[in-house]
Amino acid sequence: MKLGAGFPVWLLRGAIVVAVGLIVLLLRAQHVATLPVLAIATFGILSAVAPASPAPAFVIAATAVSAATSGTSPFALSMLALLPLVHLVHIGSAISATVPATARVHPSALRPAAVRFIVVQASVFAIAAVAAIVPATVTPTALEVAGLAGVAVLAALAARLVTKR
Amino acid sequence: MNRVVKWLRSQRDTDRWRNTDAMYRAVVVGVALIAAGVVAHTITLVLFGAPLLLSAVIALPHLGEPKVRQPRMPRTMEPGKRVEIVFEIEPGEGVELTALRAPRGKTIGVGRVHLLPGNTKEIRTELSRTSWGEGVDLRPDRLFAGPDALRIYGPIVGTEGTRIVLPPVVALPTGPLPPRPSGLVGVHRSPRPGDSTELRDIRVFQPGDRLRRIDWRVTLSAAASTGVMTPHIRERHADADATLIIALDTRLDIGQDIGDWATPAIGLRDKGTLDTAVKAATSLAASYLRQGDRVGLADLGWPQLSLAPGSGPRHLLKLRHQLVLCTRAAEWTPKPTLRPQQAPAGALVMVLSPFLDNAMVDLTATIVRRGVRVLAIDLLPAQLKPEAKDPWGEVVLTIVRAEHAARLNTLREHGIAVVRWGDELPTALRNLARRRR
Repeated sequence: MKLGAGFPVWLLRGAIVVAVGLIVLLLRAQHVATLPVLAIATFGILSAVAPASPAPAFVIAATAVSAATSGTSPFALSMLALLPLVHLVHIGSAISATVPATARVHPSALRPAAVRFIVVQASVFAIAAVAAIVPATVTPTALEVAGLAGVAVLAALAARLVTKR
Repeated sequence: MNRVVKWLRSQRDTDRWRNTDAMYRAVVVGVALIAAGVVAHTITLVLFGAPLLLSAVIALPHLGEPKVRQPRMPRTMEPGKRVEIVFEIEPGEGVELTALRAPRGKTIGVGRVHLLPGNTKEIRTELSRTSWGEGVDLRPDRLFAGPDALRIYGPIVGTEGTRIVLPPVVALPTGPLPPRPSGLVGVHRSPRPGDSTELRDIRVFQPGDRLRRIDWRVTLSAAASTGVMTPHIRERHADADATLIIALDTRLDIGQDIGDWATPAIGLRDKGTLDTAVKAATSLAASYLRQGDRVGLADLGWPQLSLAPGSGPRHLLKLRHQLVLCTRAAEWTPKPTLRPQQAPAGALVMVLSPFLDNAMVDLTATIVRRGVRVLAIDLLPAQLKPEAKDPWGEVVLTIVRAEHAARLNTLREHGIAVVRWGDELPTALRNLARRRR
């Protein structure tokens, strides 16, 4: 393969800023308070400038909490649109963090990540579709316990995952 | 505690696969959001956490050890010539992104980092440094990443690949070369009789002369006028090669801005006197070596870097390499040196200097006093710029110019021809050569 010019990595970082901008607009549409939105916008810009910092984690967590507490239906269009945007911030920051700010990105390098992004989002929307179909009643105690146990297992697996060599 | 320290240390190991900040973000934030969603019975939090955790799980499969082979490149090159280099990559299992530092196009130096597909096994690019000298043209720093860049291998700093771009050769007309008393090869007329085609004298045949040299037409006309048959011969000049010593003042490297003269430059100054001197030396050497002459190099700052006179294309290559070495070691020394054995009698010494100190004038005059022909080539930039911020800038410029003019006049008073390097040089060399004949 002959080395091409590629595009500047700042375009990828610019995509993070655009995604955060859309998140901010959607949260404002959900009547989320100004302070958290401002904090998300600030940390969103920080995510583009320093993608290896904890800023993207703050943006993702703050967006999720703000959206969950906004009172908007989990299956509303403005809520579902937030999911790929938050995922985009996560992926964009992860890839941008591997190269210096002066690097060049070759579009073909992003193809596998783009395909996986679509697959993961399709899975998440499938979960959302199932959740939308399931009737909202009082959760049986056994299911509640199973859910909590599942969370505990998930936490243990996560701890194993991050300390894996 | 020890496990934590060990884990923290392992995060700094770059020669194995390790998790990135994004991996911790995906796992911690993903699990936290899902756990919070389950506990608080909020599906929204679960939906936000799910993609993060899913991408972390996908990044788990085994990743193989990737490798990059250092590309082969020529040690020396002609200026402006492009060379293709090939990076051979063994990506390893599961690698999705390869970040590699590689030069491209007109980039000077080691180039930028390029983020490439992980399955790339061969990357071709071109080195195209036009500036001469020694430089680092390659350093394949690399980093490999797994799915979504959640796990990385590296960054690994590559081995530097240095390359010498030889000074360029510009064709020049032949100059004023003195005949050499010894040696009977070359293209310059020697005062000694020899076998060239150039007529030296017509004289009466003497014992020892070759019979084939007898000019019967002259002999017969002489016999007709004198009545005595005396053989006459047509004597020709011998061809001799000449010795040219290029004396390079490497102690100074100055540009047009007087304000920058006191500031030490990193490497060569762009369009500085040393750059001009080396280009001039290469062009002069090539021009004289082409006609079979012997050319030597004298570094006036570091005499040990000088090169004895030699001839032929190989010597030109040697000389160009030596010029690169001279510029690498160039620095200020108070006293320029040219040993008598470096400039033998009969040689022509071309002194290339900006003539900014009296020591240089003294040395040039000393060479002339030894009986060696000297041509001084002035390299001081024609358009000097005064320091803009200094109120005394114009005054300093006037003094510099006046002192420089006085030094050049002193050289002329010693019978040394002084020419400025540039457009006027070919004409000056032609005039000097004509005067010689």
